[in-house]
Amino acid sequence: MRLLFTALALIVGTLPAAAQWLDRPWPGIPRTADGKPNLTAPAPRGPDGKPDLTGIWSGPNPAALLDPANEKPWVNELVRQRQHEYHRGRPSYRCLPSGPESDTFLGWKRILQTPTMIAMLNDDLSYRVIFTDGRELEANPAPSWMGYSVGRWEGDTLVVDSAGYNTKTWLSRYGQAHTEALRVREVYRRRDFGHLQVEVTYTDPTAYVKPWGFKADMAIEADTEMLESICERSSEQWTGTASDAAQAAVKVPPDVLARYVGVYGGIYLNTKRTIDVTLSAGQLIARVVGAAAIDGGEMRPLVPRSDTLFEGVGLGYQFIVDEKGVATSVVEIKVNGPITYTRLK
Amino acid sequence: MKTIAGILIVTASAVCASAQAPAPATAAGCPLEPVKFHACALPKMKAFSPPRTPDGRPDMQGYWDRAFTSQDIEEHKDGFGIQAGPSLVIDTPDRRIPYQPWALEIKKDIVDRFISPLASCFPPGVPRQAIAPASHQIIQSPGYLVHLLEYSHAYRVIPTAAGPHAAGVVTLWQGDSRGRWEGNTLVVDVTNSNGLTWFDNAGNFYSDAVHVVERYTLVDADTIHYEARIEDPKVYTRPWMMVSVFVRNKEPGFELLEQACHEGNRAVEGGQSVGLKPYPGVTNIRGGGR
Repeated sequence: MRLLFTALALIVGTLPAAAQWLDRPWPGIPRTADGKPNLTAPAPRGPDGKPDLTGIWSGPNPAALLDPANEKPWVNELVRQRQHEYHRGRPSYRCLPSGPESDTFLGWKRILQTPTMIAMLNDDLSYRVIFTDGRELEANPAPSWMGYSVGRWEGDTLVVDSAGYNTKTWLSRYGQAHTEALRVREVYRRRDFGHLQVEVTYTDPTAYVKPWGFKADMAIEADTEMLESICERSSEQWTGTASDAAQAAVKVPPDVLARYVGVYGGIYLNTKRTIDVTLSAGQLIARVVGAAAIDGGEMRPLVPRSDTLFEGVGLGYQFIVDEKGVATSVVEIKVNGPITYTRLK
Repeated sequence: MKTIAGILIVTASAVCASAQAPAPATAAGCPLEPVKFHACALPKMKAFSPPRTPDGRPDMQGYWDRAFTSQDIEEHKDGFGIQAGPSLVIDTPDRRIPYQPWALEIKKDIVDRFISPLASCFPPGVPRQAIAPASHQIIQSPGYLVHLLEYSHAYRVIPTAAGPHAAGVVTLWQGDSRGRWEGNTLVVDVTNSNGLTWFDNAGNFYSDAVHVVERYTLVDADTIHYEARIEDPKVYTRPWMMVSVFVRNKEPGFELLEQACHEGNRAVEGGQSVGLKPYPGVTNIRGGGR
């Protein structure tokens, strides 16, 4: 029961904010002859002649991949520890602001631009302000959750520099840590009405060998509204760790485990992804990789609860086997419904 | 003991308000007493020609402070952690909220039974948003007016050119706002409340059927007249109106600070330890549920 309960708890916090109602035509949107939003119409411009980024934007998973080689040992240790605790300390699971976390580019975000400032509004009702009034970034702003951001236009490209973060936020859902010395650079290009290209770079020399980041191609959400998604319960009461799971593990013979090794494919959040199951030192490991890298290459140890049911960082993995005990598919058990991944090889 | 703990919990949410300077006695040359202010401000609002945004709307942008707190929107005296204040209700004979009898019974001990929604760090909802602790920033972009709140680091978006409200099944902490400009006044129709927020720390409440019509009007360059017409046939005997005031914050270099309300917040446990329960909404209290 505990396994399922934990899985419930973990997944509740990760449901994407796709809340919307039936499409209605909104005013001020360029349209094609058939009345649909014209996504390739020119980007609108503000009263100052700059591209106007105002709109509701939906982002893919930013794919901030884990890269242990680029992470200093103390960061890798924190990543390991946070996975062990099923990421319950993640700020958004604790009802706290996500700050510079890359996953804030996943899902919906509203941008509202004026000539002197740009507000970035998240659906958890947290927000940040980017000052574009010509001020300089302070050398050492007081640490805060959302940081201090200053933007400037280089032609039609908006370059945003941010600093002044506290150390309580993560850079991804996997728990990559940062120091107060973190600097973030974001580059925004609205190439037409429907598309916003974002490039984010994290620089934090005591945590990472070299700067790293991700690109997110965001798409306009026209004829709809963004609704609030309020965190009502923090993760403080979550129970269970990877050690608890290991203590409850049953022994499964190595030849049984070997029949599960393979690559499985399925669809998650309209995105194809694969689960790559390997066997390492008697331990099954699931590596989840998607076209949009929904799971960023995280390695999930699979702890056996029966010959066919495993726990992987709070989720259930049920292998479906043929009469010879060879897996034909694996079902990932989540609160938003089980997902079947069919064996590809 | 329970009552004192209840007051403690309720006042915990008002802490960030105490950093503000004491409010002045007048704004736009009008006394800061809601009925008097309303009467004094109406002719000034008609005569004032406000600055305009590039798209021709009254420009309300900038930093604003509330003139009244959300301790109790009815008249109240000085108390433990509470500063005396006038009733914000302007149009009932006794200037009290016209609760139906059963609702008045619930109001009597609501703060002794339930944890204040603000102590739980929930968004303030409407109309409390207008009197919630700390400063506001208003920004405008064609088709939108947005409040950025220092309190709880939350925001509220008011679309001014949008279609109809969200379907009734959608219930929201901040409600669903639909704004329109009527001359120099921003009129905002708010529905779809989840009914889990209060007006104030005194536990004045509405249900999920509440319908609020807000009106924001500049009285002069530094003062906004705020009016909310509240209608909730489940709870009140008649619709009623409250008035508040936003005063421009002119402190040089002022910026909103952030408040990560949940950080270190132990008010909920404190309330639970003396038997207070999360506020389940008045419909559930009346129905005996939860």
